[in-house]
Amino acid sequence: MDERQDQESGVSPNNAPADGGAGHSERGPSRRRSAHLDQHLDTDALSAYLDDRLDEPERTLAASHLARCEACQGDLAELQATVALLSGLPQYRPRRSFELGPAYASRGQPSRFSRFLPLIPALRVAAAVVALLLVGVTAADIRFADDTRPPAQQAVSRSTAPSTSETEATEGRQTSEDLPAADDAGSSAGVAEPAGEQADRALQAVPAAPATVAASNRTADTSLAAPAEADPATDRAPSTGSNRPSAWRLAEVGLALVLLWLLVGLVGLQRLRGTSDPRAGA
Amino acid sequence: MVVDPPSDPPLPLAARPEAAAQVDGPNDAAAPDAEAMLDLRLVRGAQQGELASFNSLVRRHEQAVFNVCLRLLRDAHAAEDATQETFVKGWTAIHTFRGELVRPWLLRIATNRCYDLLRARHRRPARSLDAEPFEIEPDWTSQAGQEEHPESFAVRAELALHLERALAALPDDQRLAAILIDVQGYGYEETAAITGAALGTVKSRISRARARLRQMLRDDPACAELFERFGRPTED
Ligand SMILES: [Zn+2]
Repeated sequence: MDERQDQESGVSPNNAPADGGAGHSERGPSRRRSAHLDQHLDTDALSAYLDDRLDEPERTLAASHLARCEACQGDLAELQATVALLSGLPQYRPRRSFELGPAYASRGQPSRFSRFLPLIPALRVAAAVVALLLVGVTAADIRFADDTRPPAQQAVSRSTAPSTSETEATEGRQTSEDLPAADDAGSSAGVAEPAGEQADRALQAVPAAPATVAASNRTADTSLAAPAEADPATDRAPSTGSNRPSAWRLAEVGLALVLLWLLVGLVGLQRLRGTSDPRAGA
Repeated sequence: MVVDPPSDPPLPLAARPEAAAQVDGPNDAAAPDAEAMLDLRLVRGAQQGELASFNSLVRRHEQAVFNVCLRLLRDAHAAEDATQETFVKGWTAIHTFRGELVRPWLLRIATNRCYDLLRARHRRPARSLDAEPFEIEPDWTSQAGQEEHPESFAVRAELALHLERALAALPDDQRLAAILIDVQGYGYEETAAITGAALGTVKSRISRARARLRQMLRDDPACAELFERFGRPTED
Protein backbone atom coordinates (compact mmCIF):
# COMPACT_ATOMS: atom_id res chain seq x y z
CA MET A 1 0.00 0.00 0.00
CA ASP A 2 2.72 2.42 1.01
CA GLU A 3 4.60 1.29 -2.01
CA ARG A 4 1.97 2.64 -4.30
CA GLN A 5 1.90 5.99 -2.57
CA ASP A 6 5.68 6.17 -2.73
CA GLN A 7 5.67 5.33 -6.33
CA GLU A 8 3.27 8.04 -7.21
CA SER A 9 4.49 10.78 -5.00
CA GLY A 10 8.08 9.69 -5.32
CA VAL A 11 8.45 9.31 -9.02
CA SER A 12 6.19 11.86 -10.51
CA PRO A 13 7.23 15.03 -8.63
CA ASN A 14 10.73 14.69 -10.03
CA ASN A 15 9.30 15.49 -13.40
CA ALA A 16 6.48 17.66 -12.20
CA PRO A 17 7.84 20.80 -13.86
CA ALA A 18 7.30 19.11 -17.17
CA ASP A 19 3.56 19.45 -17.01
CA GLY A 20 3.49 22.82 -15.33
CA GLY A 21 2.56 24.04 -11.89
CA ALA A 22 -1.12 23.31 -12.29
CA GLY A 23 -0.59 19.58 -12.27
CA HIS A 24 1.46 19.77 -9.12
CA SER A 25 -1.03 21.82 -7.15
CA GLU A 26 -3.97 19.63 -8.08
CA ARG A 27 -2.46 16.41 -6.89
CA GLY A 28 -4.31 15.56 -3.74
CA PRO A 29 -4.78 12.05 -2.41
CA SER A 30 -8.55 12.35 -2.57
CA ARG A 31 -8.69 13.35 -6.22
CA ARG A 32 -6.13 10.99 -7.55
CA ARG A 33 -8.49 8.88 -9.57
CA SER A 34 -10.65 11.49 -11.20
CA ALA A 35 -8.28 12.05 -14.11
CA HIS A 36 -8.46 15.80 -14.37
CA LEU A 37 -6.69 17.19 -17.33
CA ASP A 38 -3.43 17.92 -15.59
CA GLN A 39 -3.48 15.23 -12.99
CA HIS A 40 -0.98 12.41 -13.04
CA LEU A 41 -2.36 9.00 -13.80
CA ASP A 42 -2.23 6.48 -11.02
CA THR A 43 -1.29 2.86 -11.59
CA ASP A 44 -4.92 1.76 -11.85
CA ALA A 45 -5.54 4.26 -14.59
CA LEU A 46 -2.28 3.43 -16.38
CA SER A 47 -2.98 -0.28 -16.21
CA ALA A 48 -6.51 0.14 -17.49
CA TYR A 49 -5.28 2.53 -20.20
CA LEU A 50 -2.78 -0.08 -21.29
CA ASP A 51 -5.56 -2.62 -21.75
CA ASP A 52 -7.91 -0.08 -23.28
CA ARG A 53 -10.22 -0.54 -20.33
CA LEU A 54 -10.92 3.10 -19.55
CA ASP A 55 -14.36 4.46 -20.20
CA GLU A 56 -14.60 7.17 -22.76
CA PRO A 57 -14.27 10.44 -20.90
CA GLU A 58 -11.37 9.08 -18.83
CA ARG A 59 -9.70 7.58 -21.82
CA THR A 60 -9.49 10.85 -23.72
CA LEU A 61 -8.35 12.72 -20.64
CA ALA A 62 -5.67 10.13 -19.94
CA ALA A 63 -4.48 10.25 -23.53
CA SER A 64 -4.23 14.01 -23.55
CA HIS A 65 -2.44 14.02 -20.23
CA LEU A 66 -0.01 11.39 -21.40
CA ALA A 67 0.73 13.43 -24.49
CA ARG A 68 2.05 16.22 -22.32
CA CYS A 69 3.43 14.49 -19.24
CA GLU A 70 6.82 12.84 -19.44
CA ALA A 71 6.53 11.38 -15.98
CA CYS A 72 3.38 9.47 -16.84
CA GLN A 73 4.86 8.49 -20.19
CA GLY A 74 7.77 6.95 -18.31
CA ASP A 75 5.46 5.16 -15.93
CA LEU A 76 3.39 3.86 -18.78
CA ALA A 77 6.47 2.68 -20.68
CA GLU A 78 7.76 0.73 -17.71
CA LEU A 79 4.37 -0.77 -17.04
CA GLN A 80 4.16 -1.69 -20.69
CA ALA A 81 7.60 -3.29 -20.52
CA THR A 82 6.51 -5.30 -17.49
CA VAL A 83 3.44 -6.52 -19.32
CA ALA A 84 5.52 -7.34 -22.39
CA LEU A 85 7.91 -9.36 -20.27
CA LEU A 86 5.05 -11.20 -18.61
CA SER A 87 3.42 -12.08 -21.89
CA GLY A 88 6.80 -13.14 -23.20
CA LEU A 89 7.34 -15.67 -20.45
CA PRO A 90 7.69 -19.13 -21.91
CA GLN A 91 4.95 -21.72 -21.87
CA TYR A 92 5.86 -25.15 -20.63
CA ARG A 93 4.98 -28.27 -22.50
CA PRO A 94 3.57 -30.95 -20.23
CA ARG A 95 5.88 -33.94 -19.99
CA ARG A 96 3.00 -36.34 -20.20
CA SER A 97 -0.58 -36.61 -21.31
CA PHE A 98 -3.40 -36.05 -18.84
CA GLU A 99 -6.00 -38.04 -20.70
CA LEU A 100 -8.05 -40.32 -18.53
CA GLY A 101 -7.45 -44.03 -18.84
CA PRO A 102 -10.14 -46.50 -19.96
CA ALA A 103 -10.83 -47.36 -16.33
CA TYR A 104 -12.72 -44.09 -16.08
CA ALA A 105 -15.07 -45.07 -18.87
CA SER A 106 -16.67 -47.81 -16.80
CA ARG A 107 -16.25 -46.71 -13.23
CA GLY A 108 -15.59 -43.03 -13.51
CA GLN A 109 -18.69 -41.96 -15.38
CA PRO A 110 -20.94 -41.12 -12.52
CA SER A 111 -22.37 -38.10 -14.24
CA ARG A 112 -25.86 -38.73 -12.99
CA PHE A 113 -25.15 -40.04 -9.54
CA SER A 114 -22.10 -38.17 -8.34
CA ARG A 115 -24.34 -35.31 -7.31
CA PHE A 116 -25.60 -37.61 -4.55
CA LEU A 117 -22.11 -38.00 -3.11
CA PRO A 118 -22.74 -35.41 -0.40
CA LEU A 119 -25.67 -37.56 0.78
CA ILE A 120 -23.42 -40.38 1.95
CA PRO A 121 -23.43 -39.35 5.63
CA ALA A 122 -27.21 -38.89 5.59
CA LEU A 123 -27.62 -42.26 3.90
CA ARG A 124 -25.51 -43.86 6.60
CA VAL A 125 -27.72 -42.39 9.29
CA ALA A 126 -30.84 -43.44 7.44
CA ALA A 127 -29.53 -46.98 7.01
CA ALA A 128 -28.70 -47.17 10.71
CA VAL A 129 -32.14 -45.91 11.69
CA VAL A 130 -33.88 -48.35 9.37
CA ALA A 131 -31.70 -51.20 10.62
CA LEU A 132 -32.62 -50.34 14.20
CA LEU A 133 -36.28 -50.19 13.26
CA LEU A 134 -36.00 -53.55 11.56
CA VAL A 135 -34.35 -55.08 14.61
CA GLY A 136 -37.01 -53.58 16.84
CA VAL A 137 -39.90 -54.72 14.70
CA THR A 138 -38.44 -58.19 14.34
CA ALA A 139 -37.86 -58.47 18.06
CA ALA A 140 -41.40 -57.39 18.77
CA ASP A 141 -42.70 -59.82 16.16
CA ILE A 142 -40.83 -62.72 17.67
CA ARG A 143 -42.03 -61.76 21.09
CA PHE A 144 -45.64 -61.70 19.94
CA ALA A 145 -45.30 -64.95 18.04
CA ASP A 146 -44.07 -66.56 21.24
CA ASP A 147 -46.83 -65.10 23.31
CA THR A 148 -49.58 -66.04 20.85
CA ARG A 149 -51.72 -63.34 22.25
CA PRO A 150 -55.21 -62.51 21.05
CA PRO A 151 -55.17 -60.24 18.02
CA ALA A 152 -56.65 -57.34 19.94
CA GLN A 153 -53.52 -57.03 22.01
CA GLN A 154 -51.28 -57.33 19.01
CA ALA A 155 -53.05 -54.35 17.55
CA VAL A 156 -52.44 -52.43 20.72
CA SER A 157 -48.76 -52.90 20.46
CA ARG A 158 -48.93 -51.61 16.94
CA SER A 159 -50.72 -48.47 17.93
CA THR A 160 -48.39 -47.76 20.80
CA ALA A 161 -45.06 -48.60 19.30
CA PRO A 162 -45.11 -46.10 16.43
CA SER A 163 -46.48 -43.36 18.62
CA THR A 164 -43.37 -43.52 20.73
CA SER A 165 -40.07 -42.39 19.31
CA GLU A 166 -38.17 -44.46 16.77
CA THR A 167 -35.44 -45.47 19.13
CA GLU A 168 -37.93 -46.79 21.59
CA ALA A 169 -39.30 -49.01 18.89
CA THR A 170 -36.09 -50.97 19.11
CA GLU A 171 -37.00 -51.81 22.66
CA GLY A 172 -39.90 -53.87 21.48
CA ARG A 173 -39.77 -56.09 24.52
CA GLN A 174 -40.34 -53.24 26.88
CA THR A 175 -43.25 -52.04 24.81
CA SER A 176 -44.84 -55.42 24.89
CA GLU A 177 -44.58 -55.52 28.66
CA ASP A 178 -46.53 -52.29 28.81
CA LEU A 179 -49.28 -53.87 26.81
CA PRO A 180 -51.72 -55.05 29.47
CA ALA A 181 -51.95 -51.52 30.84
CA ALA A 182 -52.90 -50.22 27.41
CA ASP A 183 -55.73 -52.67 26.84
CA ASP A 184 -58.47 -50.08 26.46
CA ALA A 185 -56.49 -48.29 23.76
CA GLY A 186 -56.65 -51.48 21.76
CA SER A 187 -60.39 -51.82 22.06
CA SER A 188 -60.89 -48.21 21.09
CA ALA A 189 -59.13 -49.02 17.83
CA GLY A 190 -62.02 -51.45 17.13
CA VAL A 191 -59.78 -54.33 16.15
CA ALA A 192 -61.56 -57.36 17.45
CA GLU A 193 -62.22 -59.52 14.42
CA PRO A 194 -62.67 -63.24 13.82
CA ALA A 195 -59.40 -65.01 13.11
CA GLY A 196 -60.64 -66.44 9.79
CA GLU A 197 -61.37 -63.04 8.41
CA GLN A 198 -57.89 -61.93 9.36
CA ALA A 199 -56.34 -64.76 7.42
CA ASP A 200 -58.35 -63.71 4.36
CA ARG A 201 -57.23 -60.15 4.68
CA ALA A 202 -53.67 -61.31 5.05
CA LEU A 203 -53.91 -63.00 1.68
CA GLN A 204 -55.40 -59.88 0.17
CA ALA A 205 -52.64 -57.85 1.70
CA VAL A 206 -49.96 -59.60 -0.32
CA PRO A 207 -50.63 -57.58 -3.51
CA ALA A 208 -50.59 -54.49 -1.36
CA ALA A 209 -47.02 -55.16 -0.32
CA PRO A 210 -45.45 -52.83 -2.92
CA ALA A 211 -47.55 -49.99 -1.54
CA THR A 212 -46.22 -50.69 1.89
CA VAL A 213 -42.70 -50.69 0.57
CA ALA A 214 -43.36 -47.43 -1.18
CA ALA A 215 -44.63 -45.96 2.06
CA SER A 216 -41.54 -47.20 3.82
CA ASN A 217 -39.38 -45.69 1.11
CA ARG A 218 -41.03 -42.41 1.79
CA THR A 219 -40.17 -42.95 5.39
CA ALA A 220 -36.52 -43.27 4.48
CA ASP A 221 -36.67 -40.16 2.33
CA THR A 222 -38.20 -38.02 4.99
CA SER A 223 -35.83 -39.34 7.58
CA LEU A 224 -33.02 -38.11 5.36
CA ALA A 225 -34.29 -34.59 5.61
CA ALA A 226 -35.61 -34.58 9.15
CA PRO A 227 -35.46 -37.81 11.11
CA ALA A 228 -37.95 -36.45 13.62
CA GLU A 229 -40.64 -36.33 10.97
CA ALA A 230 -40.42 -40.01 10.21
CA ASP A 231 -42.96 -40.94 12.88
CA PRO A 232 -46.18 -40.21 10.97
CA ALA A 233 -44.89 -42.21 8.03
CA THR A 234 -43.97 -45.19 10.13
CA ASP A 235 -47.43 -44.93 11.56
CA ARG A 236 -48.86 -45.23 8.11
CA ALA A 237 -47.02 -48.36 7.13
CA PRO A 238 -48.37 -50.67 9.82
CA SER A 239 -51.83 -49.11 9.63
CA THR A 240 -52.31 -50.40 6.10
CA GLY A 241 -52.05 -53.87 7.47
CA SER A 242 -53.88 -53.06 10.66
CA ASN A 243 -55.73 -55.91 12.36
CA ARG A 244 -53.80 -58.54 10.46
CA PRO A 245 -51.19 -60.78 11.98
CA SER A 246 -49.07 -60.50 8.81
CA ALA A 247 -48.64 -56.78 9.31
CA TRP A 248 -45.45 -57.46 11.22
CA ARG A 249 -44.13 -59.53 8.38
CA LEU A 250 -45.03 -56.80 5.92
CA ALA A 251 -43.28 -54.24 8.04
CA GLU A 252 -40.24 -56.45 8.28
CA VAL A 253 -40.14 -57.09 4.57
CA GLY A 254 -40.67 -53.42 3.85
CA LEU A 255 -37.96 -52.35 6.22
CA ALA A 256 -35.61 -54.98 4.91
CA LEU A 257 -36.22 -53.79 1.36
CA VAL A 258 -35.61 -50.19 2.36
CA LEU A 259 -32.46 -51.22 4.16
CA LEU A 260 -31.28 -53.15 1.14
CA TRP A 261 -32.02 -50.19 -1.08
CA LEU A 262 -30.10 -47.86 1.21
CA LEU A 263 -27.14 -50.21 1.44
CA VAL A 264 -26.96 -50.66 -2.30
CA GLY A 265 -27.06 -46.90 -2.71
CA LEU A 266 -24.39 -46.46 -0.07
CA VAL A 267 -22.04 -49.04 -1.52
CA GLY A 268 -22.55 -47.63 -5.00
CA LEU A 269 -21.88 -44.08 -3.91
CA GLN A 270 -18.83 -45.06 -1.92
CA ARG A 271 -17.41 -46.88 -4.85
CA LEU A 272 -18.14 -43.88 -6.99
CA ARG A 273 -16.26 -41.71 -4.58
CA GLY A 274 -13.36 -44.09 -4.88
CA THR A 275 -13.08 -43.37 -8.59
CA SER A 276 -12.44 -39.72 -7.82
CA ASP A 277 -9.01 -40.80 -6.75
CA PRO A 278 -6.73 -39.34 -9.42
CA ARG A 279 -4.52 -42.41 -9.46
CA ALA A 280 -7.40 -44.79 -10.07
CA GLY A 281 -7.06 -44.61 -13.83
CA ALA A 282 -3.37 -43.91 -14.18
CA MET B 1 -25.26 -53.82 -26.75
CA VAL B 2 -24.21 -56.79 -28.80
CA VAL B 3 -24.89 -55.36 -32.23
CA ASP B 4 -22.84 -52.24 -32.50
CA PRO B 5 -21.50 -51.49 -35.97
CA PRO B 6 -17.98 -50.33 -35.34
CA SER B 7 -17.77 -48.21 -38.47
CA ASP B 8 -20.16 -45.27 -37.94
CA PRO B 9 -21.46 -44.33 -34.56
CA PRO B 10 -24.35 -41.90 -35.11
CA LEU B 11 -22.98 -38.89 -33.27
CA PRO B 12 -19.84 -38.12 -35.31
CA LEU B 13 -21.90 -38.48 -38.48
CA ALA B 14 -24.40 -35.90 -37.34
CA ALA B 15 -21.63 -33.57 -36.26
CA ARG B 16 -19.68 -33.78 -39.48
CA PRO B 17 -21.40 -31.08 -41.57
CA GLU B 18 -21.06 -28.51 -38.82
CA ALA B 19 -17.45 -29.38 -38.23
CA ALA B 20 -16.73 -29.01 -41.93
CA ALA B 21 -18.42 -25.62 -41.97
CA GLN B 22 -16.23 -24.52 -39.11
CA VAL B 23 -13.05 -25.56 -40.82
CA ASP B 24 -14.12 -23.78 -43.98
CA GLY B 25 -14.89 -20.53 -42.22
CA PRO B 26 -11.83 -18.30 -42.76
CA ASN B 27 -13.40 -15.54 -40.72
CA ASP B 28 -11.08 -14.56 -37.89
CA ALA B 29 -13.88 -13.21 -35.75
CA ALA B 30 -15.68 -16.53 -35.92
CA ALA B 31 -12.66 -18.52 -34.83
CA PRO B 32 -13.06 -18.25 -31.04
CA ASP B 33 -16.75 -19.05 -31.37
CA ALA B 34 -15.94 -22.14 -33.35
CA GLU B 35 -13.51 -23.25 -30.68
CA ALA B 36 -16.09 -22.66 -27.98
CA MET B 37 -18.71 -24.56 -29.95
CA LEU B 38 -16.41 -27.49 -30.46
CA ASP B 39 -15.73 -27.45 -26.72
CA LEU B 40 -19.44 -27.45 -26.03
CA ARG B 41 -20.04 -30.35 -28.36
CA LEU B 42 -17.32 -32.31 -26.63
CA VAL B 43 -18.84 -31.48 -23.25
CA ARG B 44 -22.17 -32.77 -24.43
CA GLY B 45 -20.54 -35.97 -25.55
CA ALA B 46 -18.77 -36.32 -22.22
CA GLN B 47 -22.03 -35.70 -20.40
CA GLN B 48 -23.44 -38.69 -22.25
CA GLY B 49 -20.60 -40.78 -20.94
CA GLU B 50 -18.18 -40.64 -23.85
CA LEU B 51 -14.73 -40.71 -22.38
CA ALA B 52 -13.22 -40.07 -25.81
CA SER B 53 -15.02 -36.73 -26.01
CA PHE B 54 -13.72 -35.77 -22.62
CA ASN B 55 -10.20 -36.78 -23.54
CA SER B 56 -10.46 -34.47 -26.54
CA LEU B 57 -11.17 -31.69 -24.08
CA VAL B 58 -8.16 -32.80 -22.06
CA ARG B 59 -5.91 -32.56 -25.10
CA ARG B 60 -7.29 -29.15 -25.98
CA HIS B 61 -6.80 -27.64 -22.55
CA GLU B 62 -4.11 -29.59 -20.76
CA GLN B 63 -1.34 -27.18 -21.65
CA ALA B 64 -3.27 -24.18 -20.34
CA VAL B 65 -4.21 -25.98 -17.14
CA PHE B 66 -0.70 -27.28 -16.63
CA ASN B 67 0.95 -23.90 -17.16
CA VAL B 68 -1.36 -22.12 -14.75
CA CYS B 69 -0.79 -24.85 -12.16
CA LEU B 70 2.95 -24.75 -12.74
CA ARG B 71 3.22 -21.00 -12.24
CA LEU B 72 1.02 -21.10 -9.18
CA LEU B 73 2.74 -24.06 -7.54
CA ARG B 74 6.25 -23.59 -8.98
CA ASP B 75 6.83 -27.31 -8.84
CA ALA B 76 6.54 -29.49 -11.91
CA HIS B 77 5.47 -32.64 -10.10
CA ALA B 78 2.88 -30.86 -8.01
CA ALA B 79 1.63 -29.11 -11.15
CA GLU B 80 1.30 -32.43 -12.96
CA ASP B 81 -0.66 -33.90 -10.09
CA ALA B 82 -2.90 -30.84 -9.86
CA THR B 83 -3.51 -30.95 -13.60
CA GLN B 84 -4.45 -34.62 -13.48
CA GLU B 85 -6.73 -34.02 -10.52
CA THR B 86 -8.35 -31.15 -12.37
CA PHE B 87 -9.33 -33.38 -15.27
CA VAL B 88 -10.49 -36.22 -13.04
CA LYS B 89 -12.65 -33.75 -11.16
CA GLY B 90 -13.85 -32.30 -14.45
CA TRP B 91 -14.88 -35.75 -15.67
CA THR B 92 -16.71 -36.68 -12.51
CA ALA B 93 -18.42 -33.28 -12.36
CA ILE B 94 -19.04 -32.86 -16.09
CA HIS B 95 -22.81 -32.91 -15.57
CA THR B 96 -22.53 -29.76 -13.44
CA PHE B 97 -21.18 -27.81 -16.40
CA ARG B 98 -23.75 -25.16 -17.19
CA GLY B 99 -21.76 -22.33 -18.67
CA GLU B 100 -20.68 -21.55 -22.18
CA LEU B 101 -16.93 -21.71 -21.91
CA VAL B 102 -15.00 -24.78 -20.92
CA ARG B 103 -11.56 -23.32 -20.30
CA PRO B 104 -12.54 -20.99 -17.45
CA TRP B 105 -14.54 -23.83 -15.93
CA LEU B 106 -11.52 -26.13 -15.98
CA LEU B 107 -9.16 -23.40 -14.82
CA ARG B 108 -11.43 -22.61 -11.94
CA ILE B 109 -11.19 -26.22 -10.78
CA ALA B 110 -7.43 -26.06 -11.28
CA THR B 111 -6.86 -22.82 -9.39
CA ASN B 112 -9.04 -23.96 -6.51
CA ARG B 113 -6.98 -27.11 -6.29
CA CYS B 114 -3.74 -25.12 -6.41
CA TYR B 115 -4.95 -22.78 -3.68
CA ASP B 116 -5.72 -25.78 -1.50
CA LEU B 117 -2.23 -27.10 -2.07
CA LEU B 118 -0.63 -23.72 -1.43
CA ARG B 119 -2.55 -23.36 1.79
CA ALA B 120 -1.50 -26.83 2.87
CA ARG B 121 2.07 -26.03 1.99
CA HIS B 122 1.96 -22.95 4.24
CA ARG B 123 3.73 -21.10 1.51
CA ARG B 124 7.26 -22.02 2.38
CA PRO B 125 9.19 -18.82 1.69
CA ALA B 126 12.32 -20.69 0.65
CA ARG B 127 10.55 -21.86 -2.49
CA SER B 128 9.98 -18.39 -3.84
CA LEU B 129 13.72 -17.69 -3.78
CA ASP B 130 14.58 -20.52 -6.10
CA ALA B 131 16.49 -19.12 -9.02
CA GLU B 132 15.43 -22.01 -11.21
CA PRO B 133 11.80 -22.51 -10.50
CA PHE B 134 10.82 -25.43 -12.71
CA GLU B 135 12.71 -28.50 -13.71
CA ILE B 136 11.13 -28.49 -17.15
CA GLU B 137 12.59 -26.97 -20.26
CA PRO B 138 10.64 -23.87 -21.28
CA ASP B 139 9.11 -23.74 -24.69
CA TRP B 140 10.17 -20.28 -25.84
CA THR B 141 9.31 -20.91 -29.44
CA SER B 142 5.60 -21.02 -28.78
CA GLN B 143 5.16 -17.27 -28.53
CA ALA B 144 8.37 -15.58 -29.62
CA GLY B 145 8.53 -14.79 -33.28
CA GLN B 146 11.47 -16.35 -35.05
CA GLU B 147 12.40 -12.91 -36.28
CA GLU B 148 13.36 -11.80 -32.78
CA HIS B 149 16.90 -10.53 -32.53
CA PRO B 150 19.15 -12.95 -30.62
CA GLU B 151 20.45 -10.16 -28.43
CA SER B 152 17.02 -8.93 -27.42
CA PHE B 153 16.03 -12.51 -26.81
CA ALA B 154 18.97 -12.88 -24.43
CA VAL B 155 17.87 -9.77 -22.54
CA ARG B 156 14.32 -11.04 -22.37
CA ALA B 157 15.40 -14.47 -21.16
CA GLU B 158 17.57 -12.91 -18.48
CA LEU B 159 14.78 -10.63 -17.35
CA ALA B 160 12.36 -13.54 -17.40
CA LEU B 161 14.32 -15.24 -14.64
CA HIS B 162 14.04 -12.18 -12.42
CA LEU B 163 10.42 -11.78 -13.33
CA GLU B 164 9.58 -15.35 -12.35
CA ARG B 165 11.12 -14.69 -8.98
CA ALA B 166 9.23 -11.42 -8.63
CA LEU B 167 6.00 -13.21 -9.58
CA ALA B 168 6.60 -15.76 -6.87
CA ALA B 169 6.82 -12.99 -4.31
CA LEU B 170 3.39 -11.56 -5.14
CA PRO B 171 0.35 -12.25 -3.00
CA ASP B 172 -1.62 -15.18 -4.40
CA ASP B 173 -4.55 -13.21 -5.80
CA GLN B 174 -2.30 -10.72 -7.59
CA ARG B 175 -0.08 -13.47 -8.90
CA LEU B 176 -3.06 -15.34 -10.30
CA ALA B 177 -4.31 -12.17 -12.00
CA ALA B 178 -0.90 -11.56 -13.56
CA ILE B 179 -0.61 -15.18 -14.66
CA LEU B 180 -4.06 -15.30 -16.20
CA ILE B 181 -4.16 -11.89 -17.84
CA ASP B 182 -0.58 -11.16 -18.81
CA VAL B 183 1.19 -14.52 -19.01
CA GLN B 184 -1.67 -16.57 -20.41
CA GLY B 185 -3.31 -13.68 -22.20
CA TYR B 186 -6.87 -14.24 -21.02
CA GLY B 187 -9.29 -11.36 -20.83
CA TYR B 188 -10.58 -9.63 -17.71
CA GLU B 189 -13.95 -11.34 -18.09
CA GLU B 190 -12.50 -14.83 -18.33
CA THR B 191 -10.22 -14.07 -15.40
CA ALA B 192 -13.21 -12.92 -13.40
CA ALA B 193 -14.99 -16.17 -14.28
CA ILE B 194 -11.99 -18.26 -13.26
CA THR B 195 -11.34 -16.51 -9.98
CA GLY B 196 -14.96 -15.83 -9.10
CA ALA B 197 -14.08 -12.20 -8.48
CA ALA B 198 -15.88 -9.09 -9.70
CA LEU B 199 -14.54 -7.33 -12.76
CA GLY B 200 -13.48 -4.32 -10.71
CA THR B 201 -11.56 -6.58 -8.36
CA VAL B 202 -9.78 -8.17 -11.30
CA LYS B 203 -8.86 -4.71 -12.61
CA SER B 204 -7.35 -3.58 -9.37
CA ARG B 205 -5.54 -6.88 -8.79
CA ILE B 206 -3.84 -6.80 -12.16
CA SER B 207 -2.98 -3.15 -11.70
CA ARG B 208 -1.38 -3.79 -8.32
CA ALA B 209 0.39 -6.87 -9.60
CA ARG B 210 1.92 -4.98 -12.52
CA ALA B 211 2.93 -2.05 -10.35
CA ARG B 212 4.63 -4.34 -7.87
CA LEU B 213 6.42 -6.37 -10.48
CA ARG B 214 7.67 -3.23 -12.14
CA GLN B 215 8.86 -1.92 -8.80
CA MET B 216 10.68 -5.16 -8.03
CA LEU B 217 12.43 -5.17 -11.39
CA ARG B 218 13.51 -1.58 -10.90
CA ASP B 219 14.70 -2.16 -7.38
CA ASP B 220 16.69 -5.29 -8.16
CA PRO B 221 20.25 -4.10 -8.84
CA ALA B 222 20.89 -7.26 -10.84
CA CYS B 223 18.40 -6.32 -13.50
CA ALA B 224 17.40 -2.69 -13.08
CA GLU B 225 19.64 -1.57 -15.92
CA LEU B 226 18.48 -4.39 -18.14
CA PHE B 227 14.90 -3.53 -17.40
CA GLU B 228 15.57 0.12 -18.17
CA ARG B 229 17.04 -0.84 -21.53
CA PHE B 230 14.19 -3.21 -22.29
CA GLY B 231 11.63 -0.62 -21.28
CA ARG B 232 12.81 2.02 -23.73
CA PRO B 233 13.64 0.24 -26.94
CA THR B 234 11.66 2.55 -29.21
CA GLU B 235 13.63 5.74 -28.78
CA ASP B 236 14.40 7.37 -32.09
ZN1 LIG C 1 1.53 12.90 -15.41
